[in-house]
Amino acid sequence: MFWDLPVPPWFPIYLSLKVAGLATIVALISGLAVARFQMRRKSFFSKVLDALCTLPMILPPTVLGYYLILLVGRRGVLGEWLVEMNIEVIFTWQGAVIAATVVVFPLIYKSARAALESVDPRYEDAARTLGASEAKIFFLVTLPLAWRGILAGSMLAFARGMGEFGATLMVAGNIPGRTQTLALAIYDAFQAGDDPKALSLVLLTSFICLTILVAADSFLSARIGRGRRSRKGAKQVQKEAA
Amino acid sequence: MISLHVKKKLRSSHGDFTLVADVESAASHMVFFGASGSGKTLTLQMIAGLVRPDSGYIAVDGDVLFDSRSRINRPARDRHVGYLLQDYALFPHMSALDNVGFALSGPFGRLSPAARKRAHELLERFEVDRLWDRLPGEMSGGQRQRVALARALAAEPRILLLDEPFSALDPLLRVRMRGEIRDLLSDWQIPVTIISHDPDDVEAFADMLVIFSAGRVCRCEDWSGYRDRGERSKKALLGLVQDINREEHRAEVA
Repeated sequence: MFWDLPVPPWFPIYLSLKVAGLATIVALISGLAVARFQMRRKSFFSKVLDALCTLPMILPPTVLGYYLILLVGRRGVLGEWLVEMNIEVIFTWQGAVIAATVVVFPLIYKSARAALESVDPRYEDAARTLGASEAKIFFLVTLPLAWRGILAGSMLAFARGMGEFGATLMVAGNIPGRTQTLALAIYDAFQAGDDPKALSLVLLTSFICLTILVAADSFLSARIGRGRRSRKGAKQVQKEAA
Repeated sequence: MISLHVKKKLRSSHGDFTLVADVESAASHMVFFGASGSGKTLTLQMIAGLVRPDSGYIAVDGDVLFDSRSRINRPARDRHVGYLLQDYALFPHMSALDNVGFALSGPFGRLSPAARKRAHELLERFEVDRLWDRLPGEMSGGQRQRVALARALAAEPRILLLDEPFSALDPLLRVRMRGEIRDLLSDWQIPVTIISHDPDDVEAFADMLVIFSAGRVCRCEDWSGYRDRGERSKKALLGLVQDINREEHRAEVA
């Protein structure tokens, strides 16, 4: 039976969720920071930085994987330092997180920047004249008004991270029970001719990603400040006016 | 006491716009009068610290806020200039109380009990305390204006700038709010500068009238003699505007 197998069948699912989740969190924090820095900037430097941050969306994942190996591989730029610090990246799940983070970063950065820039700058101006610091303005005014777009981008990023294949394969390899994510397990099962397994994993992945996309879409299409509370309030205003 | 001598050039695809404004005023109520696009709002934004002049000098009560020669440009947050934007810009995700308490809250938005009490007092002063938990989207235009004024005054500004405070209101409400705001502000004893293109506002508020046209300050007139004089104020204003039009026409022909 399946519990006798060396690798439990739910392991790729668990690993994919873990990798995609951690990658989304890391990309969310860094993407938000870069988006805040880039907000409403139009200089040439800013355009170059924007292109660099978007590049992982365009480049083949194998190219990203290769760059990552050049960076964190044993003979890479940071390789010796990582060995000294006793951090293993290549062929570990941490490596898979790094690969997925780079792949999903543009999705979060792009949507966060668009969401932050869509906030009416007059609110920020008003806050400035009220004596607020830029940090207070960001966390209390801009971010609460932009969170829908940022959350939708994060969900998109999570869904993309679930399906990450190329860069993960190059950095973390395809070790069952250690670094084999859903996408890699599907490839393996297909190669081994295990069609029932491949098909069930394919359907499962599709279902998870579909759920995330529907949820992201309903977050985006819901309008800001039109909750039940405000409809009740609007009625009250009408009643008082009458 | 406002001392303002600034230059600012804006470039856009529709052509360049140059603002040159020189105003010296000790009046408690000043009205910036002029057509749309004549540079009134830009001037207020420069006083508030939201737009940086290309060159010049801005001081309030002898305190230098901007001086291009000695490279002083105080950020908006420590100019203590209250600024009411044209449609108030209340934070749409915050209740009336949180809006008013924004200037009083800590860096993480927490209101101390004392700050909460103060915000409530301000809402009470403006007779909107029963709306304390409403979002701006759930208020009428007049209510929004009161909350916005309370929010600006919560920061204890030393001058208050109002950008067309009544243009977003319907005509009947405008007349009522004009009277009420005037009474409330007279309690507060802080200098007020109002932007308007409504002769009624000039009559009701101006001690000092500053007329803008095409990016220039054309007139600075002591208007205290005309305050509350109804038709006389309007007639005098009309006369001034016609003078300015004639001058500009002559300048164009020449």
